[in-house]
Amino acid sequence: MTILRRLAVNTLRTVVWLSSPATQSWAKAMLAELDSISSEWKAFFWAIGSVRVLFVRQTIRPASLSDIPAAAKVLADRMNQRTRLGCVMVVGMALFFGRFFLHAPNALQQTGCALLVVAMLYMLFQLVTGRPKHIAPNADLAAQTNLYRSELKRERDFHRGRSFWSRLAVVMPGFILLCIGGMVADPSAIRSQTIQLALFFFFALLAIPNNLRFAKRYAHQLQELEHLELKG
Amino acid sequence: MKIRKSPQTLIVLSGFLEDPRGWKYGYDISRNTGLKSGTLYPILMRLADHGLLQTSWEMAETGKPPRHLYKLTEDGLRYAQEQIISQGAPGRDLGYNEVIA
Repeated sequence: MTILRRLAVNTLRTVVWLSSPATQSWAKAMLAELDSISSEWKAFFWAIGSVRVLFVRQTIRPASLSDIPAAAKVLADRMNQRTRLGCVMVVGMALFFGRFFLHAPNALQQTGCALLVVAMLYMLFQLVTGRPKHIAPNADLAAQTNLYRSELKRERDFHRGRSFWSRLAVVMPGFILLCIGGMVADPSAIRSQTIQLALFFFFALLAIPNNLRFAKRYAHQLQELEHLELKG
Repeated sequence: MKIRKSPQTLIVLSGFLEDPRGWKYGYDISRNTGLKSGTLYPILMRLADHGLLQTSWEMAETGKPPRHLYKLTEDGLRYAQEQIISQGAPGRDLGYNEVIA
């Protein structure tokens, strides 16, 4: 097996591992296709494309009350997917900053790392407590509608208000201290540390409209649900 | 239910209409439509979630992993025909009555 083919297989296996139960069969389907792709490069790009499956934001907008169970299922799957990916990312980052803490050259960087580890644990807490609730597939429509409504509210609140701003605020001090500590430890790296800091602020600023847009989308879906209930 | 009708979705639908009764493999659809896996599979997932696409695992042959197969459902065929006609997307008009007969 060539390196490219091995990379493709390992990428797809990782995607299968990270996928939520509903997405997993699709990732497995993509993995099963690999044997039929003779070109190594095509197999590699096929596997790279599979990563997108993890980030697909499937949405079903119910047009009638009977669509709600399917919409609730898709929403719950998406939330599960986010929890799974998010947990892997924040745990990975917590381990990274935890390890960096041990080798940090000064107290500023050590404090920054410690704060970032705390921030990652806080995010992990938010992700775990924001998991969708389980509901029996044969539950009646009223129960499924209630669940759908509560999950939409939870998603809306995840992307706005206290939940979102606290996530953003908790990461800031640690990263700023880490960069300043880097500048103090090595004055020749001031430029690169400044760029890192600028990039961090850029992405933090970018997260604000993005999250508020998601919150608005869920608020709109809640309104649609209310209209459906009134009509139904 | 509402489904997003992107040009790529229409390409996939017209691809299915070329052989509306036959099961297709993901890689074959990708080759025939020219869509990358990262574009194709989210579309297939969306179609399946809306009940427009049937999926099945083929029977495993010895030494070969089973592959996933796809086919439009009756609703999917009707939807595909409507969309292809209304959007004037590329693809053969097979005549809906013939397709679902």
